[in-house]
Amino acid sequence: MQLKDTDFGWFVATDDCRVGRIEIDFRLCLLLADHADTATVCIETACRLSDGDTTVILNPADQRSVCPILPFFNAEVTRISIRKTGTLTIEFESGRSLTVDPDESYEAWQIGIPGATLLVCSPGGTVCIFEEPRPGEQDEPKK
Amino acid sequence: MAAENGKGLVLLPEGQSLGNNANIIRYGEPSAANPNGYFRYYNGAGQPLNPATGLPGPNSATHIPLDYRGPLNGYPGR
Repeated sequence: MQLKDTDFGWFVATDDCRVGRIEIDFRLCLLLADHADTATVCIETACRLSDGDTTVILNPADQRSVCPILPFFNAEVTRISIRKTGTLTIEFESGRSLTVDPDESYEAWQIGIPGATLLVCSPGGTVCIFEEPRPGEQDEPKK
Repeated sequence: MAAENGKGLVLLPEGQSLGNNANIIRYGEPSAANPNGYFRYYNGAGQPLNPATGLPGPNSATHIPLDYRGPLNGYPGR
């Protein structure tokens, strides 16, 4: 999996990606796996699960509300996109999508790709990207 | 390791790769809930902890203000 820049923000390039695990604690976490590696998406605030006609709200603070995500185990993920404004959208092969908007007070979501990248939607919507330095790179913010 | 935009900092256990949240500490910029900034720390399973209990907790308990004074149960830092 690889993070790519776009005009609107970023997307995570994947190859035959599926939901390999669903975890619920105070967050809703999806382990996404493709042929190359894995990514963990952790959602910490309310999000929207939509099929285009209907939308349900999943709120990790109310664990019962996240039950509609359970049938998405092993679902094929077709696109993971992140807007510069902090909105994360995961699209599934079924045509459904999961959307997380930023939160003013707390981190709304994060995506970790082990060995490569960590993205965090900071309070207010700024997306912070941490990337493993390539050999020879210094650990300093980019100007 | 600093965020590319300079608005965050993550501290990883020695030898641990980015993207694995086990036992990390991360700092964030000021927000509506934490006007002086905040930090979060995680247990070995990558869950953010409530410093008062050392257990996973809700957002309000795991975004810790930088001026917090109190116990840091389960804190992985030294």
